[in-house]
Amino acid sequence: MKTRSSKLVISLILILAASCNEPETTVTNIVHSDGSVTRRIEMRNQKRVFDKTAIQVPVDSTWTIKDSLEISSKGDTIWVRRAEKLFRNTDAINREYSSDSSANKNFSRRTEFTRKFRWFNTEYRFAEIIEKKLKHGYPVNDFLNKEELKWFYLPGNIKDKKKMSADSLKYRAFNDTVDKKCEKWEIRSLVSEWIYEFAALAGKREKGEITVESLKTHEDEFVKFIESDNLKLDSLWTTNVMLGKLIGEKAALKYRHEADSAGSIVVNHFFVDFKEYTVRTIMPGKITSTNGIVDSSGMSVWPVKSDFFLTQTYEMWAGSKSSNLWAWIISFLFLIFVFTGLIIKRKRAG
Amino acid sequence: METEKDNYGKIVELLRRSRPVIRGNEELTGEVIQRLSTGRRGHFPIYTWIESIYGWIYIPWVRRSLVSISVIIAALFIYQQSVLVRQIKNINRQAIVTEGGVPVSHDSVPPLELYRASGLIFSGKDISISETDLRQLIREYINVKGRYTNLVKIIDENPELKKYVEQKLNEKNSYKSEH
Repeated sequence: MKTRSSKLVISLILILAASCNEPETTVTNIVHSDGSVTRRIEMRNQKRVFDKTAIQVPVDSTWTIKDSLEISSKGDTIWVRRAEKLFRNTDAINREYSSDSSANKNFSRRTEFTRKFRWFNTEYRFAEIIEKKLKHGYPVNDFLNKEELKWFYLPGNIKDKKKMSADSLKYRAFNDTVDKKCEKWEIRSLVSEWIYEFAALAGKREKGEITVESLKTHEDEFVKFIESDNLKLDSLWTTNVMLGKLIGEKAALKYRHEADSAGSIVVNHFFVDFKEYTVRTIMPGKITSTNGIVDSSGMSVWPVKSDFFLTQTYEMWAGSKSSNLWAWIISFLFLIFVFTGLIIKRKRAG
Repeated sequence: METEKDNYGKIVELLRRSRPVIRGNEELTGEVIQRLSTGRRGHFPIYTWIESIYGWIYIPWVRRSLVSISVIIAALFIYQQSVLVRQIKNINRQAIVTEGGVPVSHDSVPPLELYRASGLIFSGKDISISETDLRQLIREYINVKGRYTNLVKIIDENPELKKYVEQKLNEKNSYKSEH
């Protein structure tokens, strides 16, 4: 297992370098009542050329693309590319995702749409889903409480605003608490994923000797190793001290290669090169429920960051309702009919 | 003779005690009332039509079933609408007002650029603008443009004024670049 800190530094450098090329992208899904979706993508870039390998979502020649230029109040030139396409249904969007060649092609994404007829109203639900990267990680909900989860999923600019507001001390302290808990979550998930990968690889060599259950009993120990002394971690690993304490010295020598391979697999899953963007959804009728941020124009908004789908599927959903006017009219006429009948009956009987 | 008389008396007594049982009281009443009312009004087609549509009021089980269905429909409507109102209230409480209405995941962009990127352009609904307001807007724009041109002329014709304006602009630019 490579040193977490050096990999982290390298990955951060790569992410920073890559993020200089990626445009600021906002994907807007305008969902229509028949299930069709108009997808609009706005990309804002510091450069004129939009590097196809840096674009976060699939866009190709079948889209209607318009380029423009804007000057900010600071005098910076921003090139803006707006692309639009009408998809007949969510299956069409999913087909585009399955043949994705964008910067985030390695991530499994899909959309879902349901419509339920409820006589007076029709209920709609649209979701954009990103599958999790680590199969055996822990859900972040196990480490953060309700308030902390809200903060975790908040867009970066709103967090920054709160940290510079009148209650900046409170929010900064809160942010630090959430960061520390997130670090614990990430380490524990990394270890859990490594355990399963290592057990699977060791099982191929000799079944029964190294099992998930036996490794899980040492999980806390493993996590403490990583959390306590990061500097010595590399030497503890390369000299088999750490692995020896977990599975015994003999087994550590025997399964050294599998342990290293499991580590590489986990690190590749963990340190992902994901280009962030923002998703917005406009639903038919009135929006009634969502797990995103509702902005002042009534749209649901979600930031899309790799942390959000590290150990759990990230589902960005919104629900809405629209009235079925014809059902209202029929029901009203029916009620009038019955009421009139009752009045006539009363009069006749009287 | 006396035995026959006695028997006759007994039979009559028995018949007096066993009264006939009338079944379908309600239907009979309804039928009688209907015939009487038809008789009173005469044979106008509209009344016949109303009677045929509202014939169900005389059939108890049909009447009760329709009333039950009406109650269910009314209850369903009240329930659905109350749930909808509550959901919309919750959503409105959750709404976060952001600059221009588009919270993006990177540093905040000045409101003007966000306004261009959001709202009207990305709205799924049509917007209607009053023609009068639009004409007024265009007139005001032409007015402002004309005044600006005149102002620039006045400044150019007056060297002292030009110097003063340039000095102020330079001060403003240097302040901006420092901050």
